[in-house]
Amino acid sequence: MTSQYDVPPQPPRMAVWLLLLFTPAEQTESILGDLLEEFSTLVMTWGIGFARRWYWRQTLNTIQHACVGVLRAAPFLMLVTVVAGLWSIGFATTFSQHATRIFLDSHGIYQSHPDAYLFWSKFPLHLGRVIICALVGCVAALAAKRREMQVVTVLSVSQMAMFFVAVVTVIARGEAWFQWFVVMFKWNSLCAIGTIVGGVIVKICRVSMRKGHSPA
Amino acid sequence: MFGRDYLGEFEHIVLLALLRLSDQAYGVTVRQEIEIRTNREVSIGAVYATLERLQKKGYVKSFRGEPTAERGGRAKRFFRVTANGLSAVNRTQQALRRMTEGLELVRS
Repeated sequence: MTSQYDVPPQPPRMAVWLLLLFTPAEQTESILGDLLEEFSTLVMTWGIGFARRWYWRQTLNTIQHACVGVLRAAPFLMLVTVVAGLWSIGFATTFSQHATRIFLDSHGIYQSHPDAYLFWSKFPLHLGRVIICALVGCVAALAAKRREMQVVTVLSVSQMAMFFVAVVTVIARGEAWFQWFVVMFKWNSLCAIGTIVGGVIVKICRVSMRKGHSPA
Repeated sequence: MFGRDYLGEFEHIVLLALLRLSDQAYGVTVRQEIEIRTNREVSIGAVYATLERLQKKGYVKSFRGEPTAERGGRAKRFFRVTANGLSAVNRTQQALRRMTEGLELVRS
């Protein structure tokens, strides 16, 4: 007969995954081991609910320290990566927009299929921007070496900050902004998420490669 | 000559915890020692970030222990204070003592 006690309670998977992403590679094993050791003790003393809440608190504080630590330890790297990342996103987006419009205009799509023209000049451009953000996130994470997630998090926060600056500018000009805001907020959020996804892909690849190289 | 390498508050606390724990100093015990003695919640990330910084300064050295089942097969990382670390603690303690000399510190 099996009981629920046959398998020892495990910490929240999502929290463990976030720690894997955000902690520096050389600290990950020790941090996860230490937290698991304390988590098991807390489960026996205070119960699973308390232990899970404690684990989440530790996870969030550890991530905060990891991000602030990088900002303090390598502010120049962070600044260069963010500026280069934002510039690359801006350049690639503008370039792809121009290229698409030139292609559509040269084939006379507007005259023959106005609906198709409107569709191709909006949706794919936004989608393309999300893909560009993911690619820039990958490149930024590759350049940042051991600080992949911290760099892409700051990059995506900067993207959103720039969007909100644009929103304030539009409102200050007295233009109709609400509909524009709804559409652009959706796409800018997706771009910010795309940047983080790029960083996550690089980090996961690196973690897998390290596991492959470490002795069994 | 003036010694300029004074420890920050948390660096100072972490080094004192390592000295107290001597050969039993690893993440869990250091974190718990600080929590018990300072009565404030400390995250494991803060402890490791500080230990990493102290190691770069040469105040602390670390070595890996054996992996254990209760840690999911992960090894402990033990920490020791170096001679430089001990000097830094003494220097900071002396500076604090000199700064508080003659002051009537009222306990609230």
